[in-house]
Amino acid sequence: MAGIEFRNICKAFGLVKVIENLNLTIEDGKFTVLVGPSGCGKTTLLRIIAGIGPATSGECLMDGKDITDLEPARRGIAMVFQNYALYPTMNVRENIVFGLKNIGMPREKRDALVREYSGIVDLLDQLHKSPSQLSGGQRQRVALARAMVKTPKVFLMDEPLSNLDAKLRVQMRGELIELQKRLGATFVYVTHDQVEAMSMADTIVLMNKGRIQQKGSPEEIYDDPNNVFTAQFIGTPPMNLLEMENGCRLGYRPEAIALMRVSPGAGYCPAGEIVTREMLGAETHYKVRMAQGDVMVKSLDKGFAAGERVHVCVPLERMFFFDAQGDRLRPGQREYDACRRLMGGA
Amino acid sequence: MMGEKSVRRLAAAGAVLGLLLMLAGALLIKLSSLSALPDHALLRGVLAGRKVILILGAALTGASVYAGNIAVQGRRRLSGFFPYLLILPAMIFLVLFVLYPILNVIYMSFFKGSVLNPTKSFVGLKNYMALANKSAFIISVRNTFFYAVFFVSLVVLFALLMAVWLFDDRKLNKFAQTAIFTPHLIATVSCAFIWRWIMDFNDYGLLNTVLGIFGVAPVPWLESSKTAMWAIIIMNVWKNIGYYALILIAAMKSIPAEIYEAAILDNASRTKRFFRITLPMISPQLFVTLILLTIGSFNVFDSVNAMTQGGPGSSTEVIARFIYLFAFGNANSLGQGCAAAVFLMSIQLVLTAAYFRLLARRVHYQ
Repeated sequence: MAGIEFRNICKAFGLVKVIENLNLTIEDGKFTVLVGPSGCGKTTLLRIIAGIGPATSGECLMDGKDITDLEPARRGIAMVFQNYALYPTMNVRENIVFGLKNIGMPREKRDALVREYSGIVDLLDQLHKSPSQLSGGQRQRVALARAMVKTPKVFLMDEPLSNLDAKLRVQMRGELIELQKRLGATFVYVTHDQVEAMSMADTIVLMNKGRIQQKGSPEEIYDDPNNVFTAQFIGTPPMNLLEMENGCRLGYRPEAIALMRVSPGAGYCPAGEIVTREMLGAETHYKVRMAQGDVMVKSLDKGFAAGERVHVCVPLERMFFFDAQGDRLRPGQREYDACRRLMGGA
Repeated sequence: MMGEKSVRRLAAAGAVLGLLLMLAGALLIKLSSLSALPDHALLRGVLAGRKVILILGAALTGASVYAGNIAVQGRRRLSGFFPYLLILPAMIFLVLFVLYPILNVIYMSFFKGSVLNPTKSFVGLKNYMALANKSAFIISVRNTFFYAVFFVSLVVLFALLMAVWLFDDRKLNKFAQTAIFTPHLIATVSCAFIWRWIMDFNDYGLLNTVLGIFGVAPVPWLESSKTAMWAIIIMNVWKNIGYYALILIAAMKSIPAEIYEAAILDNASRTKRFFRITLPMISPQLFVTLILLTIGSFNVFDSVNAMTQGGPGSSTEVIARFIYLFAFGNANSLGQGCAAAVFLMSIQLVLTAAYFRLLARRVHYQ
């Protein structure tokens, strides 16, 4: 088992600096998800761990040992690629066993491992087939078996579910979580899908433009965002943001809003008109147009209609304040108190 | 608006008429070479316009097929004889320029005759029997096989090495790719003359001069029966490496980088990655290369003719030169030349079939 540590990592492709001075610790035995929009450097980071796209400068440590210049094959890692990268000219068995053969593992031991792990991913009866004869989900499982059979200390996964259809993706999501719990290995998982990040991660590392925006458990990231980027990236629909008179920004989640037909008279309850209504079954999303701007509302009450006049009421304790640069304002800061007073707080 | 059906009928009729006109034009051209023709004003007039008739026929056929094609576009399936009509022009050319010559050569190989009178007298299989007893022919077959084996294996080997070497996208590699491809653009005869100069034994030979710097005594490359065939092999290998290296580089570039990365993580050494990933994944292109090279190598003629003319002695005589000499050189031996040509074609057929039989199983298609 192994934790990973980045120290002052920089990575440039030609003249383009993708990552600058990044420091990060990935905990041992945890499911860590690197998430962010495309081009944010998350895959680059994964490839640095794997050793197939070394950093321009800085150090990468595993278990406290410097692995910056260690050969990829000696790092005790296994990687699952976005398009699986199966060997097209080998059948399923040869694909799984290739890495074991290369380290000179004896045949009986190899065969036993192949049986064990192809059983886990339910491929025992497909071993003789070539990858081109398999479905997307099956290929995915071959890639997983190929990674597991090496019993690595660290699993690296680069958007492994993005090529699957929606239903299979949800199913594989659950299987991966189970797998991680069973193996107890360190999982580093890259995705651009915040739902995947929220549902699978022990720790989320949210990145943008080569910088870490926030690191924390899904609860921390969701309930206590450090900045506007985090607040808007995580959550569907994203957090509502409105300009305030003092140049700061007010934010509140769509589910923090209580829609009222009649204003209660006290507190933050601006009036607006419902523009759109999306009924999703258990909940309903409304888009409300107010003088200050549009907000999304997530409500359990599907009784409102488009065109209706409503009041958008949010309690003070569910409001977030951000400064002009987009950083979160927290209690104790002078600007925080100013914002709070503007919203009618003491 | 005309219905689609009538357009198709019209197009078919136009195409048939055009083909008839072409045939008539061709016949008239053939007729005009005969001297014993009745003198008739109408015939004279038609004969004068024979080329116009041919061209008109071709134009009509082309236009009809084109119009018919447009009329049926969007339809899933063509029915009746119309689809055959569409491929008719291509089939005519195939029959005329491929099938007919092959059958004609086989036919002529049963006769004794010359170019002017190919089928003077029927001799049955005598031409083939004569070949079996002709030492010149046996030597040329042996030399051709020697050439083919070394030419093909050396080109494949060096093209592969070059492809591996020049794979990375570097400026130097781009230049080197162009450089090794250039000989492919030069006519074989010109290359032969360049190499005759390079391998010159007497005064100006570049190769011997360079070897001389290292203290090697001058080698009579083209003047010795021991080295002449090698000289031709070297020239042809040099000329062909670039072209086939380019095909293999293109094939190698189509292999996704992640597969190599996965292999690196799977502890596969460079050699292992080459033999287990690169080679199987470029096997379709390698297979085509092998077949093209093998067929081509048995047809070798121009380089031999320009560099050694079969000499010294008969050390570089090849089958194609034998065919050339007996078909067009000697008197009344066209049949023997044709028999040799049939023999050559059979070798190529058998080898290609053998490749498919033995290797196609190991070729991996995506």
